[in-house]
Formats: sequence, structure tokens, C-alpha cells
Amino acid sequence: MVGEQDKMFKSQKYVFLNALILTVFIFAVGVAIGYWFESLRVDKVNILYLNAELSMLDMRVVSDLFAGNVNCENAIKENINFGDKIYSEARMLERYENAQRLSEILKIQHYKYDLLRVMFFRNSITIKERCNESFHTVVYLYQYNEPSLELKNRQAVFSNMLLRVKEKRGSNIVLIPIAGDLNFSSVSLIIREYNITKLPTILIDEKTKITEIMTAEEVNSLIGQ
Amino acid sequence: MQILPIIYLAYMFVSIYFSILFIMLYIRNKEELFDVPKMDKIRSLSMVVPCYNEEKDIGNTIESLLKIDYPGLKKIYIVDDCSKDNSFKIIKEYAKKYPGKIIALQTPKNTGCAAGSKNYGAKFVITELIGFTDADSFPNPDAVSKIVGFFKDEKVAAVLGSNLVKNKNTFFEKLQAIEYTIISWTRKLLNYVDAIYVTPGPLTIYRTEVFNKVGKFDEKQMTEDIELTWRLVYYGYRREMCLSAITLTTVPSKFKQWYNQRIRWNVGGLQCIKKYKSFLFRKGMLGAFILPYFITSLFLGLLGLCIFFYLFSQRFLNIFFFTKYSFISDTAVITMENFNITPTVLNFFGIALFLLGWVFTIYGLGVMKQHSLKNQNLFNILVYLVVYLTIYPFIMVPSIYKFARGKFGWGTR
Repeated sequence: MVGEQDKMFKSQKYVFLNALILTVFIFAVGVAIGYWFESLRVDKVNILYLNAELSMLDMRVVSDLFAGNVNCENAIKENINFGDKIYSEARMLERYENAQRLSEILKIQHYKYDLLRVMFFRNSITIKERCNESFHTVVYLYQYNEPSLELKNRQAVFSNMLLRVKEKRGSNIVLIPIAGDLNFSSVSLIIREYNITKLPTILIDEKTKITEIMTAEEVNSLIGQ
Repeated sequence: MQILPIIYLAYMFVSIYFSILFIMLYIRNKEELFDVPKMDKIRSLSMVVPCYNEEKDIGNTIESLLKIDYPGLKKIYIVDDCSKDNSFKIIKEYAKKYPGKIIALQTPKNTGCAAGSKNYGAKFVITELIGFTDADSFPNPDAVSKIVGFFKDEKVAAVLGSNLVKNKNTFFEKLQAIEYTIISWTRKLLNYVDAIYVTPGPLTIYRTEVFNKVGKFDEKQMTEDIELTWRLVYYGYRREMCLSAITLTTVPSKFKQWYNQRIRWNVGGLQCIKKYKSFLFRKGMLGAFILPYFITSLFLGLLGLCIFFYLFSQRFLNIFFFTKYSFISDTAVITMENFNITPTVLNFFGIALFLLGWVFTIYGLGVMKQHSLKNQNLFNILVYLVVYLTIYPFIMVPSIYKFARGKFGWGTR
């Protein structure tokens, strides 16, 4: 009886190890599924980004090929549509990014989008110059890396405020959010060129800067007609 | 990766590990869960019942002990710890009615703890085995007979029964009934790896010689039954559990009573951890499994609570700042964006773990079904998992506070 019991305990004690092996296996499968799930979102963003990049390149090519002979109405319309599209994609990307827990690959995607938006900003300025400023550019420069809780919410309200402005003005403005604290030469150049000293800042038509929260109406009045 | 997801994943890993451990133990031993070994001989036994202000229950407890069918039961010592009610009077009446069988004892002065009364009663015991049952617990007539067979093995120092709930009338009592059933089931599973970490008060029988040799109950401990068990493990003695030996116990009907009981259990657990902390991760069942398992089960919920409060405070501050700035900018506080929820993989993991817990509980109740809880339904189990178990970590906070201050007691002085 005694010997049998000892033997039983000894054989049962392997359960600790077996359970550990099985847990590691299940856990690994779970994490792998998690990565796969998150990569599905990355793939979706990738496709959207590629399409946006293609549209951007197309606009740049059109702009370069027909310099000085551009159809302003079409160019503005395309530019604004493109702006609206990448703005809504930016919001989706932000949602996905907030829900990303295992991998950080969407961060890189975010950087790519930001660079694309810098290109878009440049393109918008060019079109504005050629087409006699018949629309307004509103660049929203925000802090991307580790904003404090207070700043995060301030930026969220800035974003909502601009959304309201956009709703009111429609195709009259292009809204371009750009992370102002990215270590890219192009972004640094914008920060330097327009003397941005604080984030978030709203840059209207490359002249007016807003750094404090105000109402959508007040922002609207600063944009002008 | 951020620190919070890492903590969350570690939390999940530990939870999955213990769930798998129990499932594997169950699969390996399911055929013999309710087995009862044959008795090799009749061993003499005395039962000791500590009692303090139990005038309502003590009579019924004595009656249930008198019904015990084990022929070796010689004496039943009822030890009154200087109750303020009529407990001792009732005990003396029974002693008069059953002379030689029921022995009425009273401690010279109130000991203030169950361990004090138990040790006092144990002084009078001269039988081979000594059993303890609480004054609000009622062993089934065959419970002792089923237990005694385990003492064939010389290494076995203590055998415990299965504790189930007697009063299952209110919803709150039913939740406790689920808890007790699952605890009984999992405790039996731990038996298969020699990892029983408590020989609880409702019914445990010890080998008297070993009980005296290891020094009886430690009267400074709030959970003297856990402490004694760990001491038995330390000295290399084996504990066995007989799942078929049922004792019905009265559980608190009111939240406050339940709260005080759990505080006492937690503080007792912390005392045990403090006493045996030097054994943690040392070779042997106590250091390698019992202590880590016990600590994990006490503190895992607390960790979850800390994370919850952290997230809650973050959410609160988010709402505060967002509302404040939204008012300044005259923008909507709630937009459609707020309802656009994008779930994280951790949300899915959490749901999977919750479902695992649910299935585990339902299955456990199913295994024990023949003995209790035939009428439990899914709603009760849901509340048990979502609400009842969630309260635990909250109780841990005042328990730690009381333990740190050193101001705790049975409240029986």
C-alpha cells in the first residue's frame, strides 16, 4: 500500500511538467493567433496605404507633367478628395493602433502615412499657388510619441474641433494631420520653417497658428472665406 | 510591447496553467475520485468540537455526531470556550443524556480562538485517532467510516472530508455552495499530487500521536487548520481527502458575516505565508508547489484589482480632461466615434479565459452533481464567476491592512 502510494505520487508529479508544456503550447498558439489577428489589420492598412500612395504619385505626376497648364477645378477636387480619404484612413489607423497590443508594426505604417501627408501638404501648397488660393490648408501638428494623459485628451478635442470645422466648410479646406515629433527631415523642416514651438498646433494657410483650444466658430473665422 | 499587456499575458499564463493542471489531474484520476479504501481494522477515535456562542447549532451538531456509524468512535468532546450564550448549558444537558459518550468541557478562560478550544479538548483524547468538526458543521453518518480506511498507510497523518453547504436557500448561500463544491473537487485533485494545503475545520481526522508530536494547533494563527497542514507537510506526513465523506456546513447568510469570515481566512493565510516564507521555492511540496500556489491564489486577484484601478483611474482622468476641453471648445463630449469599439486581442483572450472558467465550473458541478447542487443554473454560475469571485480581491485589501497593523482576532473574546 505504502509503496503503491509513493509510486502513484511520483508518476502524478509529472503532471506539473506536462501541464506546463501544454500551457506553453496553448499560450504560444494563442499569441500566434493574436499576432495573426493583428497582422490582418496591418494588411488592411497596408492595402489602403498603397492605394493612397498610388493616388498621391498620380497627383504628383499630373502636377509635374502639366505644370502651369493644370485644370484647377479638377486638381482642387482631386486634392480635397484625397485629403478627405487619407484623413478618414488616419482615424481608422489610430483606432487600430490603439487596439494593437502584441506587435508595433502599425507604428511604422503611421510614419509612412505621416510622410505621405507631408507630401500631400506640399502638393496642396503647389496647387494653391497655381490656382490662386481657392481653398485653405489646415495642418494639424500633434505629438505622437508618449503624450501625457492631459495632452492626449487635449489633442482629441483639437481633432474633434477640426472635424467640426471640416463639416462646416466641406470642400473649402483640406485637413492634414501630421505627427510633429517624428524624427524625419521633412517634418523637422516644417517645424522649423513655420516656427512651430508647441504641440499641438494648427497651422492655417501656412500663416496663422493656433495653439490653444477654441471653438470651431473661432477657428472658422481665422480660416477666412 | 507595453508593460500592461505583459502583465496581462503573465496573468493569463498562470490562470491557464492551473486550469490545465486541474483538468489533467481530473482526466487521470476521474475513475477513482469517490473511492473509499477498505478499513484494515477498527481504530479508536475521539471527536473534538470547539464551540463559542453556538446555542443555535450545537445541539444539531451533537445529534449528527451521535448518528455517526463508525464503531470505533469512543467519545465526543464538546469544548465550550466560555460562551456568553446558553451553549454550555445545552452541551451539559447532552452530556447528562449520553454519559460517557458526550463529554462537556469548558476552557478555564476564553481562549479567543478555535485552536485554543481544540487544543484544550485534545488534552483529554487517548484514542488512536482524533477528529475535529466545527460547531456549525454536520458530518454525514457514514463520513467517518469512509475516512478511517485511509489510515492504513502509516505516512498518512490527516484525512479530510468533503465540505458542502447545508443552507442553500438564499441566492448568496447558493453562490457559496458553488464555491464549496468547486473547492472540494479541486482539493481532491490536489490530493493526487500530495498537495493538499489545508485540513479544514468542518471535518478532519488526525493520527493522535502525530497531532501531538508536531505540536497541535498553533493558537496564534487565525487559520490554524492551514498552518497545521503545512507543518505536517514540512515533517513529511501525508494528507488524504475522501470526497465521499461529506460534511454539511453552515455558511454565512449575511454579507457582513461572510466578509468577516473571509477577512479572517485571508489574514490567516498571510500569517501562514509569513511563518513559512523561508521555504518558498525550496525543494519539496511545501516550497515548490503549496506555497507558490497559495500565494498565487491570494494575490493574483489583487494584481487584477490593481490593474483594474489603474485602468479605471486612467479612464476617469481621460473623461475628466476630455469633458473639460470639450466644454471649452464647445464640441460634443460623446460622438459616434465613442461607440466605434475596436477590440484588442487581449479582449479575446480574456473572453476565452472566462469561458474556460465557466466550463470548468459547470463541469466541476457536474462531477459533484450526485452529491449536491442539482438545481444550480447557468445564471448562478455566471454571477459566481463575474461578481462573487470579483469581490475577493477587494477583501484582500482590508485583510492586508489588518494583517499589517497586527490587529486581528476571531472576535470571540
